[in-house]
Amino acid sequence: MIIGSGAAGIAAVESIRSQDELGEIVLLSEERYGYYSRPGLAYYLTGELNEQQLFPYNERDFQNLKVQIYNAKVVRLRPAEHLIELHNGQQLRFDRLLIATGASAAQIDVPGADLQGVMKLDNLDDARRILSLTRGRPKAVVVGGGITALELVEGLVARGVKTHYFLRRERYWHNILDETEAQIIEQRLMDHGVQIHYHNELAEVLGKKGMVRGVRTKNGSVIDCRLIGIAIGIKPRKELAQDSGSLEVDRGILVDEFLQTSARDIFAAGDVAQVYDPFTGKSILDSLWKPARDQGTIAGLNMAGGHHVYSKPVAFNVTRLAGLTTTIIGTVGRGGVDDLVGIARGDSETWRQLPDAIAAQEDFEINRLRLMVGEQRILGAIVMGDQTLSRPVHTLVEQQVDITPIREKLLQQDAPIANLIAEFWRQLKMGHVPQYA
Amino acid sequence: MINIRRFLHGEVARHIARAEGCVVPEASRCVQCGICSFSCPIGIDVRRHALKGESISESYCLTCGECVARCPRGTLSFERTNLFNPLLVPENEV
Repeated sequence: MIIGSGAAGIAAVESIRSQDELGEIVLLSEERYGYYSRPGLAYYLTGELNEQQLFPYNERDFQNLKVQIYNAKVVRLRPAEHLIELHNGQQLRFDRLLIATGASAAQIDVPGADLQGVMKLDNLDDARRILSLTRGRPKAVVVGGGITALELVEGLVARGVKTHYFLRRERYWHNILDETEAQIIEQRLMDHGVQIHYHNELAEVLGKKGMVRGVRTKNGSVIDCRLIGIAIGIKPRKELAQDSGSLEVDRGILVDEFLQTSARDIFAAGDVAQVYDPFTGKSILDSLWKPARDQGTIAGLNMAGGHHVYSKPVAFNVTRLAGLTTTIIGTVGRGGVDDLVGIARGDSETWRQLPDAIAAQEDFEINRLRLMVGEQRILGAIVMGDQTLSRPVHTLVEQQVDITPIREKLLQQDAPIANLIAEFWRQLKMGHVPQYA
Repeated sequence: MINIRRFLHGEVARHIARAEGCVVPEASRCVQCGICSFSCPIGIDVRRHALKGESISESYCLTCGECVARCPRGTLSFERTNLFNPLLVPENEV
């Protein structure tokens, strides 16, 4: 039995079925639309794709997987009895259970936050509501410093909405991007008419007859608007496990390297799972698509009787920031999560572990490459714009390639780091450089 | 000011890449958003290939480049077709 129809839940169905042709698989989903691409919602907002296209699988795909899908809310988990209870009082028994309930957007705690027009971008219904609100081209305010906030800004701008963007600090995504990278993004937003308000926070949502009419900021100014987009972080949906009383829970549901919870036969994967990493001894949250799918796959294999370890890969995410494809690899940030509530969607805690590294960087017209150079290897990188070097850099980080032959050159002032990496990669592929540190 | 020589060189290179190449996905970048399938003028389900990490082997692919250009995550690229085994994903070269 699987609770949740997101990336982790569907990957688990696929991997269970790959091992067991006949076993009964039941998938319970609160999401009435079933499985769709959550990251695709951003592009649905901009109008780059239609709603139908958000659904990667059709009915026949699910028939082939022989999975019974029910739109139901699980209200109680009884681990010892291997039972779950649904919202309608029905009880279902499971042999093995995967909790893949994901995460939901954190709410903002200010007066007026419940007024109509205060929006998040969590699911398809949210996207639909935002689109219907944009029809009259109202003014909008967006609050938040991560990827989802920017997706909201881009979606609103694409729909012709005059948008004010509130940043709590001096720049966008300050704990991941450096000053230049943030400036590139901010300039591109401003070029499209976005008004950025630095060091600004929402104090109160102003309304009339239950509808948003404006905001009051902490520095006292009032901005007229009809729509407010909030993306200040996400919260793993761990209540089911927490309320059961017998599953260990921290910020997410704690699982070991086999993705098993502290209760027998119960697994967790995806945004809700706080996964133990045997190499660092830490349990961390990832809210990225690929780890969610990978965890779902491993959990599914183990539910089908396997004994597979989930090895946390080098954190890797590709996103689009103000129209620039951006790849974030490994450890790049400055530590701390104070700008967001815990973790944001499309975010990995690994990025923010403080690296013992020196940054080497190179700017092009609108492209940028930043490498976090450690003693012997590259610990992380951000590739903005042209992605040609993204795969080589990802491989160098992931495979911990010894970069001693070029380290000194990389750290020289104004070093052509893109060329150095490209040449090093070419040599490496020809077998001319020792590969591993 | 446009450098005409450079522009034409780029156009020719692009044309050759399209004529001789096929579209290859990097599965780890794909989030199944579907922009690629949505933008394909002849309705190839590019996303399904991307999910499986398979190159677009359909001989009727126009190699028009719409999916490559529109993917917001740089998942797709052109790579030279392996004439002796067109189904084999060519190794990415820098």
